Amino acid sequence: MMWGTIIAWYLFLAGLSAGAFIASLYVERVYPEKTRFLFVSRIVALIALAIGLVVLIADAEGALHNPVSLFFLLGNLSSSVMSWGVVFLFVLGIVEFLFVVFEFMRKKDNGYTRFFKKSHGVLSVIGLIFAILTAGYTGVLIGVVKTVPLWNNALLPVLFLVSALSSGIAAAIFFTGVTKPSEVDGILKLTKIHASLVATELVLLALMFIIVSSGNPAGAESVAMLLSGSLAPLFWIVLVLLGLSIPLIFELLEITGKVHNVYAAIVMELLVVIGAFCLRYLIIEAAVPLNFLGF
Amino acid sequence: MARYGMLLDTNKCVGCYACRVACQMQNELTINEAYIKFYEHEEGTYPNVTHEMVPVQCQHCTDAPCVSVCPTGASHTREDGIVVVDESKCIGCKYCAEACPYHARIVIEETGTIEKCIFCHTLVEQGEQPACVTTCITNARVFGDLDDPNSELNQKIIEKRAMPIAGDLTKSNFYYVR
Repeated sequence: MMWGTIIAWYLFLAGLSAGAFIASLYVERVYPEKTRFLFVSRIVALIALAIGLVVLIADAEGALHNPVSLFFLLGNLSSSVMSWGVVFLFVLGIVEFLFVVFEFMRKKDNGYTRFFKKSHGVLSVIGLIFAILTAGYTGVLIGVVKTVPLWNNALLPVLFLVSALSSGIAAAIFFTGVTKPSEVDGILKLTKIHASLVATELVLLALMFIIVSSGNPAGAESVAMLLSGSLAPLFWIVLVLLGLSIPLIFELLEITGKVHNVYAAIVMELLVVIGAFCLRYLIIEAAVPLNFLGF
Repeated sequence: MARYGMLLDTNKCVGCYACRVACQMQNELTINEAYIKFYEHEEGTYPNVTHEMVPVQCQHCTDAPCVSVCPTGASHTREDGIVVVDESKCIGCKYCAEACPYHARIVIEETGTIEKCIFCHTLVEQGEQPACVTTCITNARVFGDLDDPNSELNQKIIEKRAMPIAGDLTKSNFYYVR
């Protein structure tokens, strides 16, 4: 397979951007006083999207030699998931940019802030829809590759969507917490949502592996690589243990009121973000194509 | 309009790689770039052993997955069924290479774009045969029009009961005798 770590970075960053933006919309509704959180999470969302696009273009060597070819990117909207993605990323990028501009002018009263406040509801809905589309698309992009059973199943896009939301929320909390720890204290509603996303991820991973490994030998080989093969240390230690289980246990203890430590919580969010990248990396690396040769 | 296809008899293939070299010459590829890949397989224990050499290139699928995933429309199917890549539209995203079940696509180092077997369509348009066919020392390859029931290709497919290499994985226009 030709796709490697760069694509994993891209899938991770695009999903994280969508998730961080959705996190900011949610926090705006339930904790409107947390303006630092809104400021940081929206900047994180925009920067993640920008870096994601840069690495994606950097991987497309043909476009580096011949940038004009990029103008054809919408040339196959009828069937290419990548063409759809260009639309999703474009709209999401614009909405995220408009939100970031507002964050820098939040306290001012000028033409832009008046325009933004008036169209805030519409922009939020458009942003929410296109963030979900973007997060889902990162899974569908590789999900339509029929020759790789690990990718070509209906659970993978759902897993990527859930993981994107989870990593976006985690990145928003982490970067906000790093700049102002008190800002991420008392966001229990967000923690509850995040914990349920992480738990869902664990369930989806297990379900996907059962389905994929029972389908055909290539799928079984992929799952074996992850569970007991060359990728197993990364899978079990970085993804399952550090990236999902430990943060989930910590968040459950926070929710039940048994633990209260902002700094530990911030570290946990970093672990979730690392785990989310690790998930994309592992799914790309564990791709085993169908055997077409019959031997 | 024609629908071009090919037959390859692996029983005749001696694994001399002449087709790959002829292809590289015709398509001006470097030594590291090849549209034809060779898969080798040995089976059994001495003295009852079999050996098979399977050259694989673009299967020019009617429902080509590479064409449907290509974001720019650079990968497309010509009216004569030949799947080609328009270099000027290719951004080099390699999505097609991921989608191709036959791993038939390669990156051209100089341009960063994707290429693959194009059935030497410039030769075919002049009434000639693809380079891999004319150069084959055992005549293991037959090129022709699948829509013409009288073509040598169709006759051979029936006579030798040739099949696409992977059943109905895709609607391949490339037939193998194995």
